[in-house]
Amino acid sequence: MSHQKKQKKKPHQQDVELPITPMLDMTFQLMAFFIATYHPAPTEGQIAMALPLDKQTSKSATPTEQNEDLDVKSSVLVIVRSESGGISGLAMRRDQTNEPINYDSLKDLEDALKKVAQQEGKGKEVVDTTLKISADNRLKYVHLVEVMDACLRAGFTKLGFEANEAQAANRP
Amino acid sequence: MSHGSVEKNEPNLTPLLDVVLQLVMFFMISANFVMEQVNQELQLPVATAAKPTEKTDTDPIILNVLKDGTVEIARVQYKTVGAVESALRDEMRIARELARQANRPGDELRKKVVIRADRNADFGQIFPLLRVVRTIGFTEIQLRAYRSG
Repeated sequence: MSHQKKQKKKPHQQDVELPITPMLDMTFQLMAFFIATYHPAPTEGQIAMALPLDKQTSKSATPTEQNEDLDVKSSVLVIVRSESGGISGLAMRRDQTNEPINYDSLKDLEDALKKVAQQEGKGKEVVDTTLKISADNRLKYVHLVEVMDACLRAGFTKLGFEANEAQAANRP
Repeated sequence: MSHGSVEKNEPNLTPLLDVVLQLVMFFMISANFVMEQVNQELQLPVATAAKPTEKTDTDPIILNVLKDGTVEIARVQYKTVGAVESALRDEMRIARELARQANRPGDELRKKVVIRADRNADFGQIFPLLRVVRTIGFTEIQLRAYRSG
């Protein structure tokens, strides 16, 4: 009895310790894995296209859709010529009746497009006019994007493509 | 000389663990999880005016155009425009059926088509794709480029 009383007076206290070491080991392994497999890829961006209804589609489209398609008031056409994949010539035509004006560099074209955007937008930031690009088949995509980039920077948000003679001839 | 109480000298691991866990979280979040539809080997061109990509409710159809003109859709390669057209018509059929089941007619036309073309692909390989996509009736078309600036 006396022994039991002693135990009650001085209960054996045990410290509860959380074993951190295995957790730390695992965490370091995880970190090593993620550091080893970390490849920060460049962020992708989008360029939305405003493509008019194809003529074949518009024949079967509803009248409203046809009207929307025809409702493009005026369009600016950028012509990109290419001989060996690069840009060998740049031109812009404002209306179908006008003759295209040639530009020596992409910078010159961008400056001209900015002026057109200001006129078409009438002071607004967003230009409602559709800008179409007609490019040669040989043009590399990287250069096409350079031209599209210049058009977007000039203020045109609606970009589309127009078939040139060779592409129109290859229509399926 | 009397001996004082013996104290354990243990390093305090808690702040270290906190930092390490935060690093693990950072790497987990920023890790590139490979999307099945996206070909990571493509070298996209760079565009300063490209906008950030939007997250949509529906999965877009991603057309990866390799530099030789081969089109890859969900890891399946198509060598001709006709084969791509056939695959896209199947996609349109599925999207139309899903839209019909969800009682939302017309939703299939709003399915996004994303064109990821290699920087060295020719425009002559991309233009027929745009034409096919438009002919089938997709209205939401995007080109992809790396953002800069």
